[in-house]
Amino acid sequence: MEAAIIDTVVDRVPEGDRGAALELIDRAVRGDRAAFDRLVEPHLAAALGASRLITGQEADAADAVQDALLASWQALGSLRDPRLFEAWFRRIVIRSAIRFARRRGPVLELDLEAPGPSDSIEREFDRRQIARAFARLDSKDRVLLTLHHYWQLPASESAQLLGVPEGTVRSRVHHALKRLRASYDAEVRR
Amino acid sequence: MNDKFEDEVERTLAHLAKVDRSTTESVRAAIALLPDRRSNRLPRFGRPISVWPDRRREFAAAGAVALVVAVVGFSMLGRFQTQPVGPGSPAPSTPAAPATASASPVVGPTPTTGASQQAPQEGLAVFAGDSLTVLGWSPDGSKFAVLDQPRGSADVPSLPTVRMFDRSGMEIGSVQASDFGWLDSSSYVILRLEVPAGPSPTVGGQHAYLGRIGSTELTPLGTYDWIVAGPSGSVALIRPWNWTVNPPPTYVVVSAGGAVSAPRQGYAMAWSRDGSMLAVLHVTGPTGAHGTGSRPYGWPEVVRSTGESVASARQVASDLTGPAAFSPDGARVAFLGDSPASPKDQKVVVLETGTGKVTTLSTPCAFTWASSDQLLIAHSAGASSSASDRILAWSASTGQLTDYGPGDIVGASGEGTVVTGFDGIPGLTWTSGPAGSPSSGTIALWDTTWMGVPDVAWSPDGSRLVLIAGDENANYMDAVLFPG
Repeated sequence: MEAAIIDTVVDRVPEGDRGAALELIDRAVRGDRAAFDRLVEPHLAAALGASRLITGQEADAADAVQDALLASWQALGSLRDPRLFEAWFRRIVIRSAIRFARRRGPVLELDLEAPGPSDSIEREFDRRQIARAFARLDSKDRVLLTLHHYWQLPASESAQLLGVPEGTVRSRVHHALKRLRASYDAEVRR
Repeated sequence: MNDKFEDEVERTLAHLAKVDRSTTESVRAAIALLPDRRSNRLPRFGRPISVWPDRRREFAAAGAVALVVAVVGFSMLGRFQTQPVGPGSPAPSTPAAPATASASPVVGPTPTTGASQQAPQEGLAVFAGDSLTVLGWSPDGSKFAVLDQPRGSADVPSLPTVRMFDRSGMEIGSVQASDFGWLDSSSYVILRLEVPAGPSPTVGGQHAYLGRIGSTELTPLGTYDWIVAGPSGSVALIRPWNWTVNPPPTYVVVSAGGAVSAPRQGYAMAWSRDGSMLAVLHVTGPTGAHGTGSRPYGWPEVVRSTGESVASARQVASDLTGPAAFSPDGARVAFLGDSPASPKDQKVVVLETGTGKVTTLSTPCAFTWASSDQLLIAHSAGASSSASDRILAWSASTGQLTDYGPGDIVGASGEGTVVTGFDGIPGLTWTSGPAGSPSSGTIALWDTTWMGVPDVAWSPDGSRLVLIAGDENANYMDAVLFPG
C-alpha cells in the first residue's frame, strides 16, 4: 500500500503504528470484531453526536448508529480505499440517522438545560432558544447544519456525502441557516 | 448571516450533540454482538411467520426482501427483541402494504404443475455495495454473478467488478468488467472498458474477453457494445453500432468454447430459456412511422441460435431500450412495442414463435412471465407509484386479460411464485399456487424507500433466488441469496 494511504489511515487510527493501522482494516474485513471496534471507536462519539442532532433523541441516535455499525460491518469488504473509511462510515451514519429522523418526524426534545443567569447576560443569543429553533427545522436542514456546523465538513465532502453539487450544498446551508435564524427569532418573540 | 449567530449555533450544536457516556459504551459494546462477517448470514425473523402457509418450502422467495431490509434497518444489537420484522410483522411507522393476505383482492396465479421451490428459512447477504446488479446463474445453477459498481471518488475511480459466487454464497472470484455472461459453469464472457491513454481519450466499444473460473488469463474476443446472455449459457455480443438505421446493428454468437460466429443482422434482445432461440430487433427508426422520441425501434424476429428465422412481426415497432422476455416454454416472446393502431402508445406485444401471431396487450410499466401461460403486466397510472396501480394477468391459452391484483412491481420465477408490490412502499406481496390453491402473504418491510423493481435472478431449477435490494436513503445495496 502506498505511503500516503498509510499516513491517512494512521491519522485516523490514533493507536498503533502504520502496520497496526493497516492490520486493523485487514482484520476487520476478515471478520475480526475487535479490530472493527478499534477502527470505529475514534469516530463513535461524533457519529452519536451527529445522529442525536439529526434524530433529536438520544435513543434514536444510538439505534441509528447501531444500524450504521451493522451496515458498515456488512459492507466493509466493498471499501476500496482505506483512506475513505471515515467519509464512508460518516455517510452510512448520516443516512441511517436520516431514516430514523424521517420515521420519527418533527421532534422538540432538543432542550438544553436552562442556562445560568450569567450565561443569559453574557450571551447575545440564548442557546436554549437556538436549540428549540434547531429542533423545529426539518430533517434536511438539521442534516445540513450538522454536517456544516457540527462536523464542520467542507462543502466538497458534504456534497459527496449528499450526492449533490458543491454549490448546492453551500446554497442549502445558507438557506438552512436563514431558516434557523427565522425560527430563532420566532422563539425569541414568544 | 450574523457570524456571532453562527458561532453560537456551533457551540449550541456541540452541546446538543453530547450523549451520555453509557450510551456510547452500550453502542460500542454492541459491536461484539455483530453477526459473523465471513458468512454474512442474516438473522432469522424475530418471531414465527404466521401468515406463511405450512407448505413453506414451496414458497417464499419474496422473504428475501424483508431480510434485505433487515440488514439495512435492523441490527442484532438488542433491537431485534423489540422490533421484529418480517412477514406478518408489520414494520412500525411505515405505510401499510397495499395488499394483505386476508384482504387482498388478488386473483391468484394460475396453478402450475411440477413447480416446486425450496423453502428459504434464511437469506444470505453475500455482498453489499453502492450499486449492484444480478448478472445471472451459470447454466448448471452452481454459481451466480453480481455486477458491483462502486461510486468512486476524485481519488479512487469507479471500477466495475463482476463478482462470482458459488451456490452457497461464497465469493469464488472477481474480474474487472462492466458486463458479463456465463458460457458454462466454468467459463464466461466479459466486457471491459479500456480507455486509451491520452488527454482526450476516445472510446469505441468495449473489449470482450473469454475468461475461466480460477484463472486470471483472459482471451480477447474483440470490441463489442453489449452482452446478451441467456440462462442456458447462450451469449450474443452486439457489435459496435452508432444507433442508426444504416448501418444496422449486428451481433455475433459465442459458443461454449469461445468460438465467435459470423456477424448477423439485428439487435439481440433476449434468449429463450433453453438457448435455442434468440429474439432480435431489426432497426427501422426513429425515422419511420412508429416510435416515440428518439428511441430506436425495430421489428422483432425470433431466430434459432444458428441464425435461421423462426417467426417475425414486421408490423410491430418494438423499443430497443425496452425489455423482452421469452415465456418459459419458448412458445412466446413479449416485447415492449408500439401498437400499429396507436403508434405512440407503447404496449406489450406478444409474438408466438410457432405461428407468428401477434397479440397486443395493455400499456405496462413492467411485465414478467409467471408461467408459460400467464404474463403479468404491471401498470402505473402516473409517473409515480399510486395505490390505484394494478397488475393484469394475460392468459396465453384463453387470451383473457384479467385483474391480478394491486401493484406496480412484479417479478416471477416463471414457475409459479410471484412477488408484487409498489415502488417506494416498503411492503411486498408474494403469491404461489403450485398445489392448485394459490396462497399469498404480505411481507412488511422496514422503513425504507424501495428502489424500484427488485433485481432478481432465479436459479435454473427455480430453487434459489438472488435478489438485489437496497435503501435509497442509505445509498447502498445488498445482494442476497435465498435461501441462505
